[in-house]
Amino acid sequence: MSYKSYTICLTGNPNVGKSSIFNNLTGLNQHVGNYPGVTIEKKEGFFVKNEYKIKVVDLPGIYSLSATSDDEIVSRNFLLEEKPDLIVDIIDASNLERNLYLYAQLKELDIPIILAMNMMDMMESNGTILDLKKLEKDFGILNVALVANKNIGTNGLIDKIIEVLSTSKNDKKEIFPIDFGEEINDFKTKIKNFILQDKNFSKSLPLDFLALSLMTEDEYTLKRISSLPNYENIVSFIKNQKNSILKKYDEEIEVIIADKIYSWIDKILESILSQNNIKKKNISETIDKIVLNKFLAIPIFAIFMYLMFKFTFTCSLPFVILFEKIIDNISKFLNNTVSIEIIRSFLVDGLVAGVGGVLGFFPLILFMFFSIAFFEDTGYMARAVFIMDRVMRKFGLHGKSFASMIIATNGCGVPALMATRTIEDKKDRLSTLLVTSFMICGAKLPIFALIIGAFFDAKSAPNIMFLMYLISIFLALGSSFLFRKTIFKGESSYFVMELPPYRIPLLKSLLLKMWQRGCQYLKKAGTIVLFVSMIIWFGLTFPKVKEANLINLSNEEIRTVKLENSFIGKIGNSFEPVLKPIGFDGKIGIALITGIFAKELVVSTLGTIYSLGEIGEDDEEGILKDKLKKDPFWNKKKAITFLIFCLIYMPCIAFASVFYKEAGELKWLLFLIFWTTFLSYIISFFVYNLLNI
Amino acid sequence: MNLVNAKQNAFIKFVSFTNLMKDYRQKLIDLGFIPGEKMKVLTSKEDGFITVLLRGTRLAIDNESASKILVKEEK
Repeated sequence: MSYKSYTICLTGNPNVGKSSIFNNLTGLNQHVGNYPGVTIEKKEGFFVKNEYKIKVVDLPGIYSLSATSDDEIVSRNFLLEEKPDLIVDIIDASNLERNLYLYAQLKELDIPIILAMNMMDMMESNGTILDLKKLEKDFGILNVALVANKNIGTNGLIDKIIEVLSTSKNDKKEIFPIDFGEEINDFKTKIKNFILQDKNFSKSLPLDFLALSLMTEDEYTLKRISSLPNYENIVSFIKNQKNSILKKYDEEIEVIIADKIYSWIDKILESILSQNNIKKKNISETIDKIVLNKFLAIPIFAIFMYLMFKFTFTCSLPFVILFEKIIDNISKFLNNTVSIEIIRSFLVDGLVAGVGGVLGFFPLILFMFFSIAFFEDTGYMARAVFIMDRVMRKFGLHGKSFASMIIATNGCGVPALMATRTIEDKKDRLSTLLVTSFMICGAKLPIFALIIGAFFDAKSAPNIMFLMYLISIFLALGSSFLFRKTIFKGESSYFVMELPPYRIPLLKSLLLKMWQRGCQYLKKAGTIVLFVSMIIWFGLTFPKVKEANLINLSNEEIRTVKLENSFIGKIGNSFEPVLKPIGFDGKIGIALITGIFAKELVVSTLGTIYSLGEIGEDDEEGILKDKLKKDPFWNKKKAITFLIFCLIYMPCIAFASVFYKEAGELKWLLFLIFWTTFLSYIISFFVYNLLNI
Repeated sequence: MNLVNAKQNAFIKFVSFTNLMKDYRQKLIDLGFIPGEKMKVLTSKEDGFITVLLRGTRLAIDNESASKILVKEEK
């Protein structure tokens, strides 16, 4: 069947439920878009309805088309350059004033728009009544009511999308245009005429938007018309005209335009909104008075963070033990059933020990994602970013830097690097990029869980983990402070942010977020970890030692000879002189090297190394944690040094490549590698030697 | 006075900006900082962190920026 294909995009202010609507529309038919020339992940998916196949692009949230940060620029550029067939502007129905401002700008783009009125339940619970029919009839604004987190209204939205796409796009006269006033309208017409003087000018941008945007001397639109032969004339005309408006009204044109837009919004709202008698106490305001109190804000934040880690580690423990037992039983089963030695070794020592070592911590990762999603969905995470802004500034960072750090802790450093695009100031951004690598991402978590689980009892494990998080934050802040005093001198930029209302999170939404993020971890285990585990197994198994050379040796000696003779063993041994001063041996060296490919590989490599060691029948089988505990080489001091080294040392390849892309210059990548390597070695050296005094 | 000095629960009117970068000015204008616009101080610097209610939205603003936002108290 041949489909009629269209592209639509979802846009709107941040925190209006775009992702929920995207998920409802596309279901499982989604993947991350890869747009050439842009540097942010945009979600892309599709749905099919009758003969229509609709591509849906979910854009980062914006408040207006005058974009300042990189993520806003991506959204703005998509809307202007990619020209979707339809825009679905998602609106928080409980906050129409703010949300309609973007709509007012979008309608200048000459693209059909549907307003998706989300959170209708919240609006109604606030006692507000909204006449959506009147909005469409009297003001010509197409709309659909939704409660996205309960999947209410999705079918209505799909029907509306199809209806609009199937209608011809012949000029429809605007029923209720924005009244910018005679002077601005005249100004707008003159700019349009100037542009149209050039017959070759491509009308790639809608003229109304272009003219309005040029009045505010928006850098993007100025750049877009810079090739026009009369560019200089246009610029000088705009400047003169702006000056005369300023003189006449004692107000800048940007303010006048915004004022006109808000007046237009007020007129619409006067007509379609009414309030019933329900007077609800604003709980968010009350909570904020406590949560943002100058004495309570930081302690409350610290308690929440501690509870999050306590919940994650305590509640996931039975599941982690269960997973470990399952993996151990698979090893035993394979040991007993597969008779060909080399295949058995490949399956047990390579695949199960390598991938299983990483998969064993899957429950812990899920619990961590769940608790972070909980704080996000309640609305507290936005407050945490704001509270931390003040702390961050003291160290030359930005509140949004903290958001990046949380995202890194939320799973992976790669999206955390991308999230720095919301930081407007370049120095703030570079500083954040450089210190994000110190965060304990989902890939480092298994290393910490393994080592802490092996050398510390269950009662002190959450405390040690919390301590590691504190060290990572201390390192990030300390490094940034140093950078801002030396290489990135200057003040941090401003902070303004919308605080969403507090909400009771829906279990379904939390589970969905947890699962989506958890799947990324599983995907990595099934791809890169699996692949490198096979290579590690090969490198540790070959070349084989002749049986004759193993005669009369103890099991321990056989283990050592086999390891030292292997390809990877030789590489590890060559690093031993460098690693000895910090208490590590060649085996740890090998694990650390593989960790550069992906941090989980530290665990899987240790799994393979310790599994391959079990050669004799008298060797006990068991989980990696127990094997490390039994190895006389390891002790608590080495464990702590190892944790600190893993926390700091150079990031994985994926992180490094995205870092290079985001920082824009090779010198910053080289600096990152130098700084993390230098710092990890120096700190580990001091920690190890101090612990041994 | 500037926003830093505004008291909690006070109703204020936005007057103007002082020394703000163009991009930031535009952002605040888009968010509704238009001369004469009324807002409520939800939490003040005195009590911790500055948040205001402007056109139905709770906005969090850092102290440095707030010191560049001139406001007038509504009686």
